[in-house]
Amino acid sequence: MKRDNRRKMVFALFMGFVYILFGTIQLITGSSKALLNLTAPENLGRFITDVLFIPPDAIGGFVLILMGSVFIYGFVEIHSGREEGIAYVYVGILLSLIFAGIYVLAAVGNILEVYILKNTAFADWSILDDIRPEIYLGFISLLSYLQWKDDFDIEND
Amino acid sequence: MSEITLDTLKPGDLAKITKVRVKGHTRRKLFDMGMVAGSEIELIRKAPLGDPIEFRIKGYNLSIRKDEARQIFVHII
Amino acid sequence: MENNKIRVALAGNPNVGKTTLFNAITGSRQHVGNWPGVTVEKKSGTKIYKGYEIEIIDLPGTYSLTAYSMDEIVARDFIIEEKPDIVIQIVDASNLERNLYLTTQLMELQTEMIIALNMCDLALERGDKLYLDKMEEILAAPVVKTVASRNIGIEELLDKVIEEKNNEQYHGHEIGYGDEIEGMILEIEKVLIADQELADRYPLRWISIRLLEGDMNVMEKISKSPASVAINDLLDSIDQEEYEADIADKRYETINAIFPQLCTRCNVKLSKSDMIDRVLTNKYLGIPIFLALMWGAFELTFAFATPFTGMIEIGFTWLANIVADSLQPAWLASLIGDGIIGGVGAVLTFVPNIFILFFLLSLLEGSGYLSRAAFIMDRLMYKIGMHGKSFIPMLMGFGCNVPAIMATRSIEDEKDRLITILVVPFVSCGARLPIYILFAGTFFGRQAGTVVFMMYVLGIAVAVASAKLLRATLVKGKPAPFIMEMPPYRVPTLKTSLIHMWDNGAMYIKKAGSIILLGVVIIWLLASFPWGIEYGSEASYVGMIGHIFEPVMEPLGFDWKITVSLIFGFVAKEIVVASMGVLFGVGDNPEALTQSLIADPAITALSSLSLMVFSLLYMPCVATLGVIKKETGSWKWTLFALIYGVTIAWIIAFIVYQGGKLLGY
Repeated sequence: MKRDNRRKMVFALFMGFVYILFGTIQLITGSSKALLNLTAPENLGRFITDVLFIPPDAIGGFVLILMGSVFIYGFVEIHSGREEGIAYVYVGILLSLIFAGIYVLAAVGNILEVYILKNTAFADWSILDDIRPEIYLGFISLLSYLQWKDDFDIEND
Repeated sequence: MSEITLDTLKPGDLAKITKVRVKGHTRRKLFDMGMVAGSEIELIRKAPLGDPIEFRIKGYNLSIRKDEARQIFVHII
Repeated sequence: MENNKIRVALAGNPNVGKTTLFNAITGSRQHVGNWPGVTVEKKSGTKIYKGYEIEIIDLPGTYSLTAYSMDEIVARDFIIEEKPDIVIQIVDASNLERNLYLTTQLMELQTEMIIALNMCDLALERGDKLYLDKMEEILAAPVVKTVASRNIGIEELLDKVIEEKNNEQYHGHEIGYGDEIEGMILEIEKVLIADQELADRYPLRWISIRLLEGDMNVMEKISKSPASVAINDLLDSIDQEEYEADIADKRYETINAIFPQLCTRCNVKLSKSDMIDRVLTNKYLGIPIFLALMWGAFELTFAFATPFTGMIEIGFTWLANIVADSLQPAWLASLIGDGIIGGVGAVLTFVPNIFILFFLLSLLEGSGYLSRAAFIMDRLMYKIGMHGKSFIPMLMGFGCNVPAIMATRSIEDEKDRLITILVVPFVSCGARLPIYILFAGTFFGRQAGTVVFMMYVLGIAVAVASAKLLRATLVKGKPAPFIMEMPPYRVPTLKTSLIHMWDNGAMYIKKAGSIILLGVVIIWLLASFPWGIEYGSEASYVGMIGHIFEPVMEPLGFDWKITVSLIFGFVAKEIVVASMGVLFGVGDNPEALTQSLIADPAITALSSLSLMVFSLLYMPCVATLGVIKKETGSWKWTLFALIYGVTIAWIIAFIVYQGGKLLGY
């Protein structure tokens, strides 16, 4: 196996694990109020919402789990020696960049609400409210994309 | 060499078209897209739900439904 | 015609960068309209270059010119009827073999042709060797290398256009079809030449070949000619299907023969694009990834569009206030303030959504993912009598029905397209949500979320059932066959996407705008007269209409007030809520409205459910009707959409209300 593929494999395993873990938390806290309370005991709940910035959002959680699955798929493929596995890592990175982009733009939308429209519904909004795993995990993907850009380069129109 | 229909190929199979039995308007369109007797064709993949099927022909990827693929005859090469 | 004017038509396969090249040449000097008599989009633009005025007409992208689709007929009719000075065929250098098929047909039209060999960089990068000199010699046409996305080769191409224009003499090559077919061609030509007018107008060899291929459209062109009887006799004597196959065979045979001389080492390995497709159309991941991407698109549309919608609302409120304060007499202030500015403003609040949806659609298209979406969903859609290509437009309907209907343009088959246009209005758009939120929130408490969700499900169910119904009755037949290129994935160009967004958004404002204005003024007149009454009150015409229709609406659980607000909802569905505020005399205070709804004995949980069902289905809003008219080109179908919607809505709301009463609610 090429050395770089080994690194991609480890990266895929790590990203897959993190995305699925965070996604599961997001899905559980988002789909049930009761479970949200379960995770709320002071320390754990605060860790989830204030340190990891994981919002309760069921569909968002599903998307995170999906992205994690793509990475894990890639890990399995590369691990069993199939070159195509790289494609899964690539698409995983691409999806994570797309969703990071979506939430960054959504945050821009909220900033406009607050500073241009002075919408009262956004009175106690802070930029921290808009930070979510999709954004900071997307940042990790961006770094690895830049690192491996030449391997992934698809044809440009 | 035995003739089979296009929909019975498996991913990665390479075949040569022998006869297009599709009728009417669709026949015309298939010709235009390169599905003529003698063309080499490879089955790339099936859609997640099993239909349509994607092929590689004349240097590009083309997908058609099983309904049409069933009426196109090939032999494996 | 003056000598420094040149008319150039752009022809080429879909997905070869034709639009990008068109944009690169014309920049912002474009005009978007329709081809006369059909709903195919026509784009043209002009470029002033070295003292020449070059008019560029972008023909629809086609794989062939055989009259398979409206696109193909439009493209070739333009070339043979309008006779542009020069036809540029844009050829994808990385996919020469199939692109040359169109070239062989263009050659038969005997027009001056230039080949723009686009995306050369890709082909060269992957190691193809292209022999341009040989290509020019064999195809008897100048060949120019271009990379439209990076503006490379555009000037060389325009220089060639001018050179060819000044070089009057025509030169061209033709394909030989073998003794038997050539014999037939000669015979038909002999008959045709007797008709001098026809012979002057069309290339006879082309007509003969088309006739042998059984082209109905060309048959029609010669039907008035005295030669047509003899031609029909000749054609009856041959096996048309056999000829059709042989002619296509010969074209590809010719291409096979010349292809190795033009390009070597082409198309050898599976590309990166195929690797990506392994993931995106993966048996297990393909559909979830697709759904996730679509959900992301909606998240983005709503989150990002909201502030812009807010700005438009604020702007129009401000404008309406100025008008109300400064204009005299009062009725004029009311017409312009309440009627026009209020109504148009309500409809324009959807413009940010529409623009963003169009932008995202264009990204999907430019990246090549749109074809995969159709590929993934076709099986499901086929089962309900629709085509895979209908899925994305229907999905867009959840955002706004207007861009959804405009997006049906990518569906080639007329029937498939018509059905999609007619069922999209049942997909619950964003404007209907405020109605659900008000009523479900007021009457269903903890179950509100489920009720709203059920409305969306009902919308989909009615759309699906209507598609099946239409297939069985008015629009008979099976969905068109799925024969679709899966183009390689590409990074979409921002410029193309922005232009696409702007063209379509502006078209919505312009075309739908006039109908919206008309609808808004009619509603205002009904609400303000007879003279001297309070706007929209019981004594106004709209109030009277409400009373007139009350007996019809009563079985659904609606009194005249609800009927009136539903009439107002014609302008834009979210106005239903606002007009209830007016009718209950609480203005736009949501708390007070909730209170008076609960207090009103005429409105119960059951009747509010019936109302939600009715507002989901009852009729496309005026903007949607505007685009239905524009896209179907028919008042008949527009009227049908209206009446069908109201009927279905009445029936289902009736079942809900009366059924509910029977069950004791």
